[in-house]
Amino acid sequence: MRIRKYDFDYSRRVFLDRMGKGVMAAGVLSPLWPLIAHAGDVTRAYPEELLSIEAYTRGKIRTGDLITADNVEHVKDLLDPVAYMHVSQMGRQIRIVPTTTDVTRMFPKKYLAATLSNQGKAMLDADGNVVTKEGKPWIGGNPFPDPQNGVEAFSNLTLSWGRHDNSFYAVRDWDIGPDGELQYQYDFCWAEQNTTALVGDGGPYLAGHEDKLRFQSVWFTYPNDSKGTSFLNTWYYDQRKFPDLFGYLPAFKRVRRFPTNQRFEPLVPGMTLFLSDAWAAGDPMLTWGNYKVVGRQPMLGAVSGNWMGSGTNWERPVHGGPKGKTFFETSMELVPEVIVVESEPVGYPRAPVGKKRVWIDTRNMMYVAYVTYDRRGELWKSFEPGYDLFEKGDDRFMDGDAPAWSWTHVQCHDVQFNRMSRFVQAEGVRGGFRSGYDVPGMFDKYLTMQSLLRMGT
Amino acid sequence: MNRARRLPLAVHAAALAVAVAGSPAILALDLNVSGLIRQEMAYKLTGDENPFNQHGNVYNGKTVDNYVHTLFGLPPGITRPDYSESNDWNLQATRAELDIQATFSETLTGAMKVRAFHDWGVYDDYGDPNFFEVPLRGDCGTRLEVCGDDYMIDLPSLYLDYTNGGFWLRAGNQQIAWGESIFFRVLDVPNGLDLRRHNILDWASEEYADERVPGLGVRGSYRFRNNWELEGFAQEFNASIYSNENTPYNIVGAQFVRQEEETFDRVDDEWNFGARLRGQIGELGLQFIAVSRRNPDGVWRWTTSKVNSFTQAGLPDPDLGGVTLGQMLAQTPYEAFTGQGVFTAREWFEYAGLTRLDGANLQRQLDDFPAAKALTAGNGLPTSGVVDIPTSTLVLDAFFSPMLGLGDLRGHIERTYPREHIFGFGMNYMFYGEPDTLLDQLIVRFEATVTPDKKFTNIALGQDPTKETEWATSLVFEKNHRFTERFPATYMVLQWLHRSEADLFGRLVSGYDASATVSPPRGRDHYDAFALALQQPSPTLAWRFDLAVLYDAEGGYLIQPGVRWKPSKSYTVELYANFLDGDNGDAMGTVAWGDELGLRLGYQF
Repeated sequence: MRIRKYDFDYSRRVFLDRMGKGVMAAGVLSPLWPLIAHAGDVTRAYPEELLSIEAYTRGKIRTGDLITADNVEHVKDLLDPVAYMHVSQMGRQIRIVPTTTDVTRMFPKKYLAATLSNQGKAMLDADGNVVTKEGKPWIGGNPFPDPQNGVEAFSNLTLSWGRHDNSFYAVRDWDIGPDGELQYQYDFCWAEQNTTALVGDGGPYLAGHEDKLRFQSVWFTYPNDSKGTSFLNTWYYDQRKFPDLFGYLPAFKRVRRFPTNQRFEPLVPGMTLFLSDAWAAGDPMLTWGNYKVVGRQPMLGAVSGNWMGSGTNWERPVHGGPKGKTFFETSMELVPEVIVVESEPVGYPRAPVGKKRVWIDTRNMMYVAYVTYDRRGELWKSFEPGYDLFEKGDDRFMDGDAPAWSWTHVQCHDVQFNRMSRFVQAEGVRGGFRSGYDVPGMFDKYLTMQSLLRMGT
Repeated sequence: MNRARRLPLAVHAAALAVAVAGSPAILALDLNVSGLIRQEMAYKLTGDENPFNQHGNVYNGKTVDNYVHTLFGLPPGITRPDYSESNDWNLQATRAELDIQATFSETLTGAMKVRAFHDWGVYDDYGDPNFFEVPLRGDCGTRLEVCGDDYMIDLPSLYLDYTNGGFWLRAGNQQIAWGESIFFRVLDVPNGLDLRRHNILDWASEEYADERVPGLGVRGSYRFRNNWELEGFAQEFNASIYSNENTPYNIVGAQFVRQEEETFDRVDDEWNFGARLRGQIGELGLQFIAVSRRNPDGVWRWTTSKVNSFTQAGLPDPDLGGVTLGQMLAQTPYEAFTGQGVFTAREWFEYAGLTRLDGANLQRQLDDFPAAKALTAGNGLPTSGVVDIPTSTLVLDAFFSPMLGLGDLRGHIERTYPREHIFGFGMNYMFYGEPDTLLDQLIVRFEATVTPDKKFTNIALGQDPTKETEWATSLVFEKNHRFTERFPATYMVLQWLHRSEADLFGRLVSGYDASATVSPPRGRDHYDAFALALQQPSPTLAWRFDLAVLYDAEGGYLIQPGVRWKPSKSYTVELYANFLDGDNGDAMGTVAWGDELGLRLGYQF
C-alpha cells in the first residue's frame, strides 16, 4: 500500500500550475520518461489519486465497478463531453479496470524499444517536419515521448499510426441510426505500411520510399454493393503535402486517380468515420495548424482490459441507447495524465470541422479521446478508441515473440445527427482477411494499384 | 454444347477448382458469399414507341404513294399494315446476382458471379419477341450463359487470381476495363457490350459494369520500379450483343433479318490480345496500350437471304428459264411475303436515315449481288447510276409493288468481325492550387487511340467495308468541390469525346443526316460529344443526387437526373429519368423515342 504523501488536489494544482507556466514535462512527482526508460513503470511519477480510481473518487467508485448514470457525476471531469453524455443520458455503462503502471503493456515491443533508444534524436525542421538531428526522416518510435508542444504531441500520433511497421486490420462495422436500430453493416480491411520510421529489421527506411511516410489502403468486403470498393493513399513524408489517392470502384472496374482533399465525409453510406478521423491524425499533420496544448489532466481511457480473446472474432457485446445496441461494452482505467491538444484544419477552407480536441495519454503518447467541433463551435463528433495488450489469461495473440498491442474497437458518434458507427478490429472478416502485424509482403499484397484491381469485384 | 448443360458444367468446374485448391496444404479456404435481388423497371414518359420495332414503325397504317404505280396509272397508295401498339413500360425485369469470393491461400483467390435476369414481358409488342437468345455461343451470348426467350443466367466472373510479389495473374472468365474516361470508350477497348438488358440507358454512374461482355482468358501484370506496371491479356473473342428485334431497346430496324450465327462461327475461336504499360511520374500518370482484337461491334453488310420466299409462303414459284424467281431471290439479300419488310421506297429511305445508312446507293448492292442485278435488269429497271433518290425510288417501288413486284421485302444482313490493331496512350495530371480554388486538385485526363485502317460498316451495306484510320480522343476534367460546409463535396466531371470517323456506337458519321427525302446522307466530318456528370451525396451518404448529361455537338442529348436512397444495409432504391432527344444528324436520335422513368428496388444480402 502506498502512503498518501499529498493531499487530494495536489495533482490538479500541479497541472494548473504547469499549464500556467507553460511547463510541459510529463509526470507529477517526478519526470515520467526517465522512470519508463529505467524500469518501464510509472508508479513513482504520480500520486495515488492519479493511479487509483478509489483514491481519485475518495472511494465512491472502485475498480471493477460500472460507471452508470447513477455515479457518473463522480468522474464527469475524467470523460470527454460525449462519453459523459453517453453515460448520463443514453444508458451507457463503462467497466473500471486497474490503472496500467507497466508501460510495456501499452506498446508493441519493438516500438517501445525504438522510442527509448531514439530518445532525444528528433527535431522539427524549418518546415515543421520531424527529422533526426542529421536532417534525415525519422528513425522509429515516438519522436517526442515527452512533447513540449502540440505539434510534437501530434507527431507521435501521425508518424506511426498503428505503431507497427505494418498493420493489417480486419474491421467489422455497425452503424446505428438515431432510433437505436442497426442501419448499416460493413466489413472492411485497413492496411498500413510505414516506409520511414521503421522499427523492425531492415529499417528505418523502406528502400526507394524515403520520401514517403506510409502507404495505406482500405477496401470493403461486405455488403454486396460496397464489396470491392477500395482506396490507396500514399502519404508523403513532407506533412505539408496531401497524399496521393487512387481508388477502385466496382462500377468502373478500373483503378482511377481521385482528388485527395475531400477528407471530411463518410467513406460509405451511414458511416460516421471520415478519413480525417483515422488515429485522430488522419490528415497530414501540417495541413492542420494552430496546435495548442489546452490542458493536462487525468482521464478515463479504454487502454486495457478490452481484448475479447479467442473464439469471439474479437467482437464485443453491446448495450445502451434506445434499443440496447448503441454502445460496445468497454473497460476504462484511470489514465494518470493526458495532454489535451486542440488543432484547426487550416488547409481545408470549407472543412465542416472547426477544430478538434484530442486527449493524449502521456505514458504512450496515444490518444484516448478525440472530439470535433463544427464551424459554429458546436460539439459534433467523438471518436473514442479502445486498446489493449492482446492477452487474456493464457490466451494470447502474438506479434512476433510478444503479445500484440493494438486497438480493439472504436465508437464514433455524430452527436448532431445522433448516429453511431462502432467498429472492432476483428480477428477476421468476410473475404478471408485476418488482422495481423508486420505482415511479410504487405506492400505487394495490399498497397499497390495492382492489388486494388485484384481485390476489386 | 446443349445450353441447359452449360451452366451446371461451369458451376461444377468452379466447385472442382475449389475442391482441388482446398487440399490439406491450403486449408485456409474462406468463402465470402453475397448477392442481391433487384426489380428493375422503366415507365415510358411519352407515347412514342421504338421505331425500329414492327409495332413502332412510323409507317404503320399510313398510306404512301408508290412511284411506279403512279407511272402505270395504278392505285398509288400503299398502306403498311398497322402493327402499332401502345406500351406503358419499357422495362419490367427482375435481377438476381450471387457473388462468391474464395480465398484458398495468401497467393490464390477466386471469384464467381452468377447473374440471372428475367424480363417479365409485360409489353404489347409484335409477335413473340425473344429477349435473350442470340445465335452466337449456341443460342446465347457467351460460353458461360444459359438463356431462354425471357431469361438469361450467366457467369460474368469466374476466375482464379494468383499473386506473388509484383506478379499477378487472373485466369478465367472476366471483364477487362482499361482507361480512365468514363462512358467514353477510348482506351476501354478489350471488351464489347451486351445491350440486351437495358441498352446503355440504365443508371449512368454504373457506366458499363453490367454491359461489358466477359470472355475466357488470362490477364496478368508485373509491377516494377514500384510505380510502373506492365500488363497483358489474351482473351477469347466475344461479340457485342444487340437487343433482338421487337424488344423494347432494339436499335436495328425490324425490317432487317440479322444473320449472325455463321459469321460468328468463323471467328468464335479467335482471341484478342493486348498489352499496357502504366506508370506514374510525379503528378503525371501515364499509360500506353496496344491491342489486337476482332472488332466486337462488327461490320454489317448485305448477305443473301438463302430463302426461297415462294416455297416458304406456299406460293407457286415462277420459272425464269432454268431458275425460279424464288431461287434468284434467295441469292439476293431479300425475303418476300413476310409482311414485316419495307413496303415503300419512302419507308426505305426513312429507315436508312434512322439507321445512318445511304439508302439511295442501291448500285453497291446491284454490283455485289449478281442475282439482284439480273432481276433488276430483267424488269427493265436501271442497273447503273442507282445512287440517288429518284433512280433508287424507281427500282425500289417496282419491287415493293404488290401488283408489279413482290410487295414488302425484308433485307438480310450479316455481321463480320475484322481484326484491328489499336494503339493508344492516356495520361492524368493533378493540378494543385490555393485551397478552395477551382484549380486545386483538378484532375485532367487525356486519352487517345489510333486504329489504322479500321474497317467500318459500309453505309451502303456493301460487301467491302469502309476502311479509314480512326483517331479517338477524350479530354476529361474532374473535380470534387465542397460548396458548403454542411454537404460533402460535389463530384463534377466534364468530358469531351472526339472521334474522327465514327460515333459513340461505332457508326460512320458519313451516314449521318439522311431522311425520307435526303439521301445520300449529308454526313458529318467527325463526331464530338460532351458529357457532364454531377453527384451530390447527403451528409450521411444515405442519399445521392446524380445528374448525367450526354450532349452531341450536333444537338442530340441524354439527360439523366437520378436519386439513390440507401436507407439501410439491405435496401436500395434508385429513381432516375432518361430524357432523350435527337435526330438523324446526331447519335442520340437513335434512342430519342425512349424518355422514361426508371426505378430499381434492390435487396442485398
